[in-house]
Amino acid sequence: MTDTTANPSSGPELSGEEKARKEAYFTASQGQLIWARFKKNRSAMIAGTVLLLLILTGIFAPFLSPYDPTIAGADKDYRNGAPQIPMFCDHNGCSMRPFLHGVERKRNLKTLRFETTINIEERRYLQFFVQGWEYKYAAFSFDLPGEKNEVRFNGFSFTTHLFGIDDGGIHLFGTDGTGKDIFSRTLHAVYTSLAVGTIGVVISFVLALLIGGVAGYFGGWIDSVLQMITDAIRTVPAIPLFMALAAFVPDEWSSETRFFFISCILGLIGWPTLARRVRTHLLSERNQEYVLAAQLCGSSSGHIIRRHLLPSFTSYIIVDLVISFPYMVLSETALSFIGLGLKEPVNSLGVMLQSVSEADVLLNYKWEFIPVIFFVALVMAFVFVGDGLRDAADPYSSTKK
Amino acid sequence: MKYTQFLAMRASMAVFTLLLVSFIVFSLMEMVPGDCAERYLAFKNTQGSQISVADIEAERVRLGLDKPFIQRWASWVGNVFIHGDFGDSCILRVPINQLLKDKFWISLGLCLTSLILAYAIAVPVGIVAATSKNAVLNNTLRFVSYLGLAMPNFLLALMIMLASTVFFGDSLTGLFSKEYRDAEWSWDRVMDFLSRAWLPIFILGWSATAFALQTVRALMSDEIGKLYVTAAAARGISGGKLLWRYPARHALAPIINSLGFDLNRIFNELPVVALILVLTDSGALLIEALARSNDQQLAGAIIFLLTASIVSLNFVTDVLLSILDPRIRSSVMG
Amino acid sequence: MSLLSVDNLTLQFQTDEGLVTAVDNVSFGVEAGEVLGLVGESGSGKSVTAKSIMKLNPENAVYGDESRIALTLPDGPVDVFSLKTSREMEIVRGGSVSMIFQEPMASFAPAITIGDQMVEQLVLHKKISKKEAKEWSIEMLARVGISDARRRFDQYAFQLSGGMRQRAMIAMALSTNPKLLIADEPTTALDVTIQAQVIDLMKDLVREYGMGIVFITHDLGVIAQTADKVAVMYLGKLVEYGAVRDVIRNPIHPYTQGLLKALPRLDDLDAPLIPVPGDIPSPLERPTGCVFHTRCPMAEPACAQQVPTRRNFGAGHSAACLVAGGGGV
Repeated sequence: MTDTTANPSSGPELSGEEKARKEAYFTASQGQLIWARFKKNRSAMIAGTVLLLLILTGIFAPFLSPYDPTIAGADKDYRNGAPQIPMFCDHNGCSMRPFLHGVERKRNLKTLRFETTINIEERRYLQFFVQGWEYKYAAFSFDLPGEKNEVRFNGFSFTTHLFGIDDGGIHLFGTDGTGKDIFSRTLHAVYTSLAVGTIGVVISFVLALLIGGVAGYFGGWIDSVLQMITDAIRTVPAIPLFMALAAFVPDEWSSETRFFFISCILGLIGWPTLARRVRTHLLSERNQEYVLAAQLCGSSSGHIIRRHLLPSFTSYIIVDLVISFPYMVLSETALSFIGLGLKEPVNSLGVMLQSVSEADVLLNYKWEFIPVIFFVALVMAFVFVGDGLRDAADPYSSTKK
Repeated sequence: MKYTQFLAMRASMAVFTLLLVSFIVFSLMEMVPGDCAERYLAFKNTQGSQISVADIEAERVRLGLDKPFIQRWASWVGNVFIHGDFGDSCILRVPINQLLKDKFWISLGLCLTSLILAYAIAVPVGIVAATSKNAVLNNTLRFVSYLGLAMPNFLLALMIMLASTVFFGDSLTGLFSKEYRDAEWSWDRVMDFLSRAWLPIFILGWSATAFALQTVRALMSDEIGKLYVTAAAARGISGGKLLWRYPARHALAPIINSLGFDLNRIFNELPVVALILVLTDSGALLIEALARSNDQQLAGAIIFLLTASIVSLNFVTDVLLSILDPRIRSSVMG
Repeated sequence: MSLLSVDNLTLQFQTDEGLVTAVDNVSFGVEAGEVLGLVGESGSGKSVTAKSIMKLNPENAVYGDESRIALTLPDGPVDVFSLKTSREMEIVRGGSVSMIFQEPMASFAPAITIGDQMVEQLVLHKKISKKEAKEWSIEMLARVGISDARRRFDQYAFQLSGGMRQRAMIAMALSTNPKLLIADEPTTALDVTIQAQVIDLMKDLVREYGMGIVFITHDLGVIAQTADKVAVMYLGKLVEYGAVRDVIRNPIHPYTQGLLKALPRLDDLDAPLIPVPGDIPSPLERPTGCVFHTRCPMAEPACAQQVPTRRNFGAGHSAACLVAGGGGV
């Protein structure tokens, strides 16, 4: 016999546990079903873990960074410095507490260049939970052009950092030409990318819901006109259009305002694709028979939208949002790289890489590329999670084996 | 007869889209603080000559800036559509057509070449990937195409430059060698161009290939699962014939449909790649116009031309589809 | 030797959840000029069984070692599982065996004309010129009752009506003059009146060509009209097998009885419909012993342990049940 994989629970009567399991399956919400299927996708789960770690890294960037990522935290004695990896052992033996060797920087009198020498006799020990530069959470200051439009909330200040070193500096990923700590900058850049992406996605989502919702709900000529406009905007290459919009930003705007404005523009450009999806979902769901059934039961249209239409496609919309996230991040990076997006002192990968295209940096200071790894990991994680979610939301989509 | 109607319909829709786009572009150009007269004269001011308010007003009237917005838009659109004339650049005081010259065509050539290359790679590889049961091959391709999506082109360009500086001592930037940069077109200049153009083409095509690969693979695995393929196999059709005449033939229409989006995607990469590789094409001109000198007229012209290329490509693919797909063909030709 | 004989067919699918049994030790035969009805709910393995005859199942299908499918053709016997290359497979695929699918719309390639698809098949199997193939195809289209066949030849599937598409499908299936026709729910997607036309057409054709037909359906009413023999399948098991009159008048297996009781009766409108209780279990959770015992009104404790073998209950009438017909345990 081939089918003797004995299953004790499949007697004529289902056991209580079995029944509960089946009941749970049949009454599971869309979200629960998607999550159940998503959990089975190993690569998406790995990507999800990486993503979660990166998000935490981004949120706790100030705590994890030993130095202020702006010019205020620059280490003037260690410019263009190589990464320093803490060690446990050297020729003088081992220690329980990781340490770095001391560095000295002297001008070479022949070449007139600064040269860094490592003093292997001197040990600097790594310390944890040290006090350092001050950072704020929930601080809010928004300064729109105009005099009275300044909103300010001072938030909560902290000075504790995860690690630091006795004396001198610790630069895990080295430093750039002005002595800024690349490790700290990378963590803050992750935060910036996440923030830009979130704001952009939220704005494009609101616009998409509004415009796609109107088109899908009213249908008819309103739908046709909106579709035509949406399609026309979709044909314009986004980055050049974005450049044109970003060129309006006056140079005197503060970096926070600029940051907010750029995120808004990203949101403005991202909506057409999303709006199309919202409209398609709405149109197809609206004609489903369960909606008719609800109408026949006398439900009001508000009730139908809230209780039937929205739940039926929120999960799909969430998937769409996750998928559109990396494109926001990529666009921001490209724009900042050109010099039209974010600017110092805001840390973003595009800003950080601006200097990298110089041959000198390319050849001699390769550690300036380390942030790229984080960035690619972030985008990849989003793409994998988005794909996994899409497959989970629509098991009949594409990736059948 | 109905077919000419269909063509006319599609063409007028394309023109309508272009009008809409021109409106957006023109509005953008107008939104820049300070109009053309002010900015030009302010620019002159820095050069030493004294400019009065009356001078600005006079310049405004001369340029027709005192007319209402819609009227100026109409005349701009009219000039563009009828004469192909984009007017003068505000800052440089040179006709935009002269600034763009062959630069736009070089850019378009680069982008179209990378589009063609992207599909030349993605179609066969995507089809093989969709039919193959080899998990290692499939996962590798999946990973490579995800990497293509996640690795921005400018990073790739930086990596290649790093490698070429290390190995060849030449950073491979620019579209022409020094001696040909401003020379007239000649055989040698063409050869020089080709010897350098492969790098921007490769970089521009990189993520387009990744996208196309995903599209082709998804479309193919969709088609392969359909009943008509099983039915054809049940009639004894097998091997290459079963693959190419059935699912591949039917996946072709949506693949053609995605061409326009991919050209759009390539255009998005153009400015950044131009900046890194120090190219002298319209992408670089766009950056120049926007980032350095705020030259909205030039920027608007470039954006409009790029969009017009996409709209034209969409029109061509629409016509191609109407010939290839009997369902569309019969609906338009009866 | 019968035209088709299926012996101990076992088929499992290799999936992420492990091996899933789709067909379990099924045996039956079809004579020339005979219609075998294969009945069962969806998921009973009837389509998979039929596809096995042409080796059309996906590549993750694993056939049992004992399984054997043999065809007796004028040129000699053919062992289907020994066919390896696609050239060899042409004998069963479209050559001596043709298949009609449930959805005529989906089984025609949408962007190739019906004529092209017919000619392609004829040229492949009959070694005739394209011109001859075209004439023959038009003749076949006309013979299945398609008016204006010459024009239809150059049309696409989406330009035909549902009934016409299925007729064209039949014309295509019969054009190579197969010895065996597999019809996978050929009438399910059609309107009732057109169903009757198509069934009549098929009956005529069997008589005319003298071929064997495997007729797959979930509708016992259709079977009663068309088939000579019937095989009832449940969860990959053949539970009852016999001449159509014997099985319908005197069903042995409780599942067959259930199916018959669930049929609406036009002669007694007040008769209650008695559904088979419960749902068909997931193939991932195949019950032990007799696969039907979880839904069987006659189930006894032994049914959960012991796998019933098929026992004879008259000439050519057999059923796999431990309890029914006074078998006892």
